[in-house]
Amino acid sequence: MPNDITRRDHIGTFLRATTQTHQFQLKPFQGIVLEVEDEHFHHDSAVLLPNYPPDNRPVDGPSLGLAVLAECLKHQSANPKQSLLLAGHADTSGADQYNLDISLQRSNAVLYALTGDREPWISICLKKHKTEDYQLILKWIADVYGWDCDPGTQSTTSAVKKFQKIYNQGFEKSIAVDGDVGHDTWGAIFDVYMDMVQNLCETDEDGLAQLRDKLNFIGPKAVGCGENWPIDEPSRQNYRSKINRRVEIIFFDPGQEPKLDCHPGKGCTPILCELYNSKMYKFTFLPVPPSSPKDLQVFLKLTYIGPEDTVTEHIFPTDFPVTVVWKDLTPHAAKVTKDGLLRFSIPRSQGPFTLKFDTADVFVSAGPAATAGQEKLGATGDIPTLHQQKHCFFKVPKAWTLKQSDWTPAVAPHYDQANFVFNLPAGLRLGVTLGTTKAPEGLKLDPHWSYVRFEFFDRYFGHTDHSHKRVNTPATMIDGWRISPATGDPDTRSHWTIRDDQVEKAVHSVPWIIQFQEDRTADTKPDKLIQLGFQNAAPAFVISDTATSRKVDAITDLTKLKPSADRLKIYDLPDLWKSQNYFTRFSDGTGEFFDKAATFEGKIQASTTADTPLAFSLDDMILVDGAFNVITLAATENPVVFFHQFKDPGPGVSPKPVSPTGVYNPGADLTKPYFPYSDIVMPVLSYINDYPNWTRLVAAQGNAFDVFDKRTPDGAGRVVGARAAVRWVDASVAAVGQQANGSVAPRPGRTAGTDFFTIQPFFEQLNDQHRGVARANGVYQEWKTPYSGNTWDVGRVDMLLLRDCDVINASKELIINLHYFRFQLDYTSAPAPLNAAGGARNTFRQNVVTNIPTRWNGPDALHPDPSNDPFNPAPPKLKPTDATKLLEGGIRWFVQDLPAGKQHFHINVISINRANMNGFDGSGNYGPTVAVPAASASFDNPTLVLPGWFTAAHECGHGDSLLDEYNEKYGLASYFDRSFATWIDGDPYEDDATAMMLRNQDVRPRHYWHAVEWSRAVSGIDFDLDIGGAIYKLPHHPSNTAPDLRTFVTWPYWAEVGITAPAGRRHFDMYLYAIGNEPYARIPVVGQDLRGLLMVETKILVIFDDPNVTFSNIRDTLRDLTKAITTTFCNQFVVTGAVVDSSGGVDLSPCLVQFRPRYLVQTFPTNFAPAGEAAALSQYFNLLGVTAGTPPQPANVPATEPGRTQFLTNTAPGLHAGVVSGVKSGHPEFFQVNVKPSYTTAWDSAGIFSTIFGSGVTNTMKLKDSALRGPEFVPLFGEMFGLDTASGMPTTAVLKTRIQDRIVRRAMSGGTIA
Amino acid sequence: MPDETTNNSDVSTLDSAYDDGENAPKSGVGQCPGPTWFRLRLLDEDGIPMANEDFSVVDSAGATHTAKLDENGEFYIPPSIPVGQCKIQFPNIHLNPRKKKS
Repeated sequence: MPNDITRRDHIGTFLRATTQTHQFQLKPFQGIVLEVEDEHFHHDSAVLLPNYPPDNRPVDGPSLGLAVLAECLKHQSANPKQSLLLAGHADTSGADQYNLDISLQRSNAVLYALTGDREPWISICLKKHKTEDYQLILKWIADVYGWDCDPGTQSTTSAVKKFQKIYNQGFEKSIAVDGDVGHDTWGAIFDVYMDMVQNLCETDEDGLAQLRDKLNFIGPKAVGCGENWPIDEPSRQNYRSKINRRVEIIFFDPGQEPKLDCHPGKGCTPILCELYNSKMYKFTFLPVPPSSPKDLQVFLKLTYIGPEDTVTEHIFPTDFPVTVVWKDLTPHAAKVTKDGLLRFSIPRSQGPFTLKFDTADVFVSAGPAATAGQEKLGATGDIPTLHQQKHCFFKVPKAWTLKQSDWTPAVAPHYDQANFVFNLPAGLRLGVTLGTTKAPEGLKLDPHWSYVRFEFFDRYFGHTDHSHKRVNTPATMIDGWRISPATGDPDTRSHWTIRDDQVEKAVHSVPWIIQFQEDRTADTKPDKLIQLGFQNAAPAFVISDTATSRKVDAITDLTKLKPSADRLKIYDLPDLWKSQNYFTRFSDGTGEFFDKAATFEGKIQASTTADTPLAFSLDDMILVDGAFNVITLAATENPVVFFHQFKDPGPGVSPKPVSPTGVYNPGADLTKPYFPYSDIVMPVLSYINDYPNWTRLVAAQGNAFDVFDKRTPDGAGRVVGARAAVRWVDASVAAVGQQANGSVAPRPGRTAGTDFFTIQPFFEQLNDQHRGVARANGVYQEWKTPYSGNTWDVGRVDMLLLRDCDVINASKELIINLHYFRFQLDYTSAPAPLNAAGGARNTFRQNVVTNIPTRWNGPDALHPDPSNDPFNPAPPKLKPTDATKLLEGGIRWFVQDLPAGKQHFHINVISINRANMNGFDGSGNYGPTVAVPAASASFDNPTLVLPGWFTAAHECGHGDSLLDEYNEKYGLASYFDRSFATWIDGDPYEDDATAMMLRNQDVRPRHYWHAVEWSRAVSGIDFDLDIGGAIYKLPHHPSNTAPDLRTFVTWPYWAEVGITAPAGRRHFDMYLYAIGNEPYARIPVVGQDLRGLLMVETKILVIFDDPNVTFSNIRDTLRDLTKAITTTFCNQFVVTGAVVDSSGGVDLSPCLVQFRPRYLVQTFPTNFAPAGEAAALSQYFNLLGVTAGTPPQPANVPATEPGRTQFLTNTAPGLHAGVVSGVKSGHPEFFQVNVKPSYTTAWDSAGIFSTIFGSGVTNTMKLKDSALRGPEFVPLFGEMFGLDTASGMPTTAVLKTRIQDRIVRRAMSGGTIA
Repeated sequence: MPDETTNNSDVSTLDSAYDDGENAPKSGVGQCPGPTWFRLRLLDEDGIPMANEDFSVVDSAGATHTAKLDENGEFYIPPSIPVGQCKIQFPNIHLNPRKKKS
C-alpha cells in the first residue's frame, strides 16, 4: 500500500494493518521561479523599476527587471503546459495590512507589465510611487536609449520634460511636455518599458502580443503575500529590507499548482500557505539572460510566383537558407521560419543590407499538390521521398543574388529596388523593427516558369478515357541547362506539373530563376541556348493505376513487366532523355528540332505560358537495328507505320485514316517503290514523328521494326530517349543466311527481340510425311518429278508474334500474329496493258496488296453478300485454350510490293493459265486477272460457275506455307481424274470443293492452324482458333518447333504406306487425319460432324490397248469408274469410338473411311475424229506442259501424225510418255489394268510384279473396256484393298465387317463402323 | 508467522516486523492470533522524522489515540490489540510550519 503522501492528505484517512510499522513519506511539490529581485522596488513604492540602480547594475543587465519579464514571456512560450502565478512581497516595516496592499500592488505592477495592461499599470504607479522611482527610470532611459533625460545632469523637471519631448518624437505621441510625472508620463514610461521588453524578446509588437497571449495563469494571476514571507532576516520585525521587497513569478508543471486557500480574498492566511511552506514546495530558479539591448529585428517574407494558371504566391519553406550581407559585406546566415517568415537581427550600424542565396543543393517544395502549409525544404537525397509524396518542388540555383533574379517588393517600404538593398528604419526606439511578424516586408520572386509537355499515349486508358489523345507524363524531375551543350549538373531542376486533370493541357513547369548577369545585364532564359532533359537512375515507368491516376515509379516486381494486359498500364520512360536533336512540337501546330534554328528563339520564349508549352512526344520513333545503331532510310523507302490493332479502328480513333490492314495514313501514290506505305513526312529519314496515337510496328526496307518498350540510348549526335523502333533481325539480306530470291536452306530460325516481339523470317511448314523416305524398293516420293527435285519448300513469309497490342474485351491482352508478305511484282513480260506503267498496272498492284489480305483477314467484303455464305466469315482469332488466360489474338496478313532484293517472291506478271508461287525459290507467276476475286467457271467443268474465285489469294496461301488440297488431276496424265501424285498424302480435303486451297474460294480454319501452332510455340500458350465463334483445334504435332513447323493438317495423324501381305492381292496406302471442327467436317456425310478421315488409296496404271480409243473415251471411262467406286465405298463407313492415340488423348470419332483410286494413264489417243476431240486434247496438252511448236501438236497430229506410233505402243519416248515415265519412276507401286474390248475381264497372272508385290501376287488384269466403266470393276477394286470380293460384291453389312476387319482395325486402336 | 502479514501483498518489506530492529516486538510476544502491536512513522519531504506532528489513530480494538508523534516521528501501540486494521490521520500536516504555533 503506497505510503507516499503530500500535505494535502491532511484530510485523508489511511487504513493500515496491525503487527507492522507503517512509514509515511511526504512528497514535495515543484515550482520554477523567476524573481523580480529586491532592487526593483523602492521602499514604499509599487513602481516596477527597469533595473538596478546604476551603482549596483550588473554589467550585462542594464535592464534586468524588464529582462525578467521578457524571460517570463519566452519561458511560457517554450513551456505552454506550465501555468504561472505572481506573488508580491513586502518587507516587515509597516503595518501588516499596508504591507499586504503594497505587496499586491507590486505583484500587479509586474502583472500589468507582463500583460501589457497600460492603464492599470499607470494607476498603480500614480498611487504608489516615489520621486526616486522616475529619477531612476529616466536615468535608465538616458543610459540605454541615449535620450537626454538623465536627471543626474539636469533638474528632474528638466529631465522629465526632455523625456516627454523625446518620447513624443520617438513614439509619435503628443503628451504634455510639462515636467510633471502624471498619468501620461507614467503611460510614456510604460510604453518605453514595452518597447524594451519587445526588444529583449527580439520581436515586434505583434510578436509581443502573441507571447502575452500565451500566458497561462493558474487562476488568480497575482497575489500579495504582504510581509509574511521575508527572506532577509525573516524573524525580524519592522525591518526595512529591499531584499524582502520583491515579486516572484512562479511556473508550475501540470499537477504542481498550489492551492491558494491562504488567499480567500484580499487577505493572506500564512499558516495555510502551501507555496512558502519550504518543506512542501521546492523551487528551482530560472536564470535571467543578459539584458543588453538587442539588435534591430528584421521581419521579411520571401515568396515566389507559382507556375499555376492563377497567379499563386508560394512561401519559401521553413529553413530555406538565406545569406544576409551586412553593410560591411560580411555574410550572416539566416533561415526562413514558419509561414515563410525570414527574421533576423542586425546591428543598427550594419544597414543597408542585401540578401544572397548560397543554395548549392536546395530544393523548394510547395507541398504535395502545392498545398499551402505543407511546404518543405529538401536536398538531392530527398528527391525520392518528395516524389513519392507527390510534392511539387524545384531546385534553386547554386548561388545567386537579388540582383541576378527578378524580385518584386510586396509592401516593402524599406527595400531600395534600384540598389537591391534594405535600408534600416531610423528612430529613437529600441523596439522598432523592419517589418513585423504580422506585416513582414515582402519580396516576391518571379522564377520565370517555362512549360513543357512530355507526351505519351496511355496504352491502357488512352482510347477509352483520353479521347485517343496523348497525355502528359506525371510529375518527374525535369532538368534544364542554361547553355548548350548540356554538361555537368543541371542549372535548374523541377518536379512540378499543373493541370494534371486536363488531358490535353497538363504541363511540366521549369523555372529559370537567374535572369541577369551579376552586373544586372540581361541574361534572359529560356532562350535558344538552353537544353532540357531528364534522367532516371533506375528504369522508371509511368504507371496508370486508373484513367486519372498516374505516377512515375520503378517496378520492383519484374513479373509485371512481362506481357499482359496490365503491362499496358506501364509505360517505359527513357533512362535518359535529351532535348537536343529531339523534335519539338509548338502550340501553333508547327514543330522543328530542338536546336538553334533562327525561328526557335521565339518559340521557346513563348513557352513561358502554360498554354504555349514546348511539347515532346515520347512516342516519337527512331529506326534502329538490334544493336541500336540508327538506320536511315533512303528518300524512296517509304515506311509503313502500323496502327497497333493492325486494322482500321473506324472513324475518330486515329488522327489520320488507317487502312484495313492497319497502315496509318496510307499513301495513294502507286508508283512508290514500297506499296502500301504510310504517307508521312520524316523530318530526318530515321525519325518518325507522324504516327497514329499508338504504333506497335513499323515496316521499312522490307523489315519489321518492333515498337514497344525500347528507347534510343545516349551517344554523340543521337536522338536520346526516343522510342526505339527496333529491327531485331534483317530479314531481307544475306547477312542472316537468306536470299530474298532463290533457295533458302536452312530457313532462319525465330528471333525473339523481346518478350513482346518474335519474328521468323521465311517461315515454312514442313509437309508430306513420306517425301524422301527411303524404302527397300527405292526412293518413294509422293510429289517429285517433274517439278522440284528432292526439295519442296512451301511457304515464304515473315511470321511475327506481337504481344501487348491492345487491351480488349474486359482487360484482355491483344496479341497479333502478323504474316508479312513481300512481293516483287515484275511486269517485264506482262501482257498489255500491264506491260506499261500507268493505271492498269497501278490497279493491279493495288488489287494484289489490298484484296489478298481482305480475303484472308476476313470477312471478305468483296463478296456480294458477306453475311450470307461469306468466303471468310470473320477475322481469325487466337483463343487461349485455358479460358482463364486474359488474352486474345488476331491473325493478320499484310502484303507489300517492294523492290527487288527485299522480296520473298519475285512474281512475274505474265499471260498464264495457272498462277503459281513457289516457296523453294521464291519464284511466282501471276496472270493479269488473278488479283480480283470474280466468279469463275470450274476448270474441269465449264458449266459450274464458282463465285468469288480468287487465284492470288490461293497462291498467297502457298506463300503462307499452305499446300494445294486438290489432287493434281491435270498435268500428270490422269485425264482429269486423280493422279498418282498428291500434295497432301491421301488427299484428305479433296471433297471440300470450295476451299481456298482447292478451288480458290472459302478460307477454312485449317488454313490458319499452322499460324496458331507457331504462336503457341513462340508464346508457350495453347490456343484454339476462333472464327466467328466457331472453335477449331487439332492435336499438337510433336515436331512443331521452330524453325520447321508441322501440323496434323498436312501430316496424317497416322499412316501406313504400301500395305501388302504375304498372300493376297491387296496393296494400298492409308492415311488417318484429324480434321477438327470446321465446315468441311460436315460436308462428306450429311448429318455427320466428322473429326477424322481415314484415307485409303491405291494406284492404278491404265493402259488402253485399243488403237481407236479417243481422249473422251479415256476421260469418261475413268470418271465413270471413280463414280462407281465412290458410290460403293465412299461417304458411308463411319467409325465411332476410334480412339487412336495410345495415350488416349485424341478421339477422332466419328471418322469417315474414304477409298481413293488414283490413276496414271499411259495411253495417248490417236483418234481425233469425234467432234471436240482436238479441242479437248489441246487443253490436255497445255496442262501436261506440252507447248506449241513441239510436235506432236494436237491440232495437227491428224495431219502429220508424227507420234501416232509411239502413242499406240506406249513405249516410245514422247511428251506424254515422258510425263508418264516420270510419274512411274516416283511411284513404282501400282496395279496395272490393260483395257481392250476384246479382253476377258480377269486378273492376269502373267503380269506378276513379284519384285513389288511379292511372289505369287497378281497385280495386273485385263479388262474389257466396258467393264472398266461400270460396277463390274468395283469388286476388283475391293480386292486391291484386300477385301474378299472375288465372288462378287457382298452386302453392305458384310462389306462393313470386312472393312472393319481389314482396314479399321489396322489403322485404329479401337472403334467400330457405324 | 501469521499468514495475514507474510501473504499480504499490500505490505511493503519495510512493514515487516522482523526487519524492524530494536523497535520490533520483544521475543515471544505477539504471535497471532493473540494481542499484537502497531507502529506508524512519518517523514517530511526531506526524509526527516516529523517529531511532534499531530496524528490520530483508531486502533483495531476501536480505541482512539490522538497525540503527537514522538521525537522519532513515530507512534507505537505495544502488543495489546487484536490483529486488524488501524485508521490513521495527520490532520495538521498542511499547516505551514513557519507559521505554526508549536
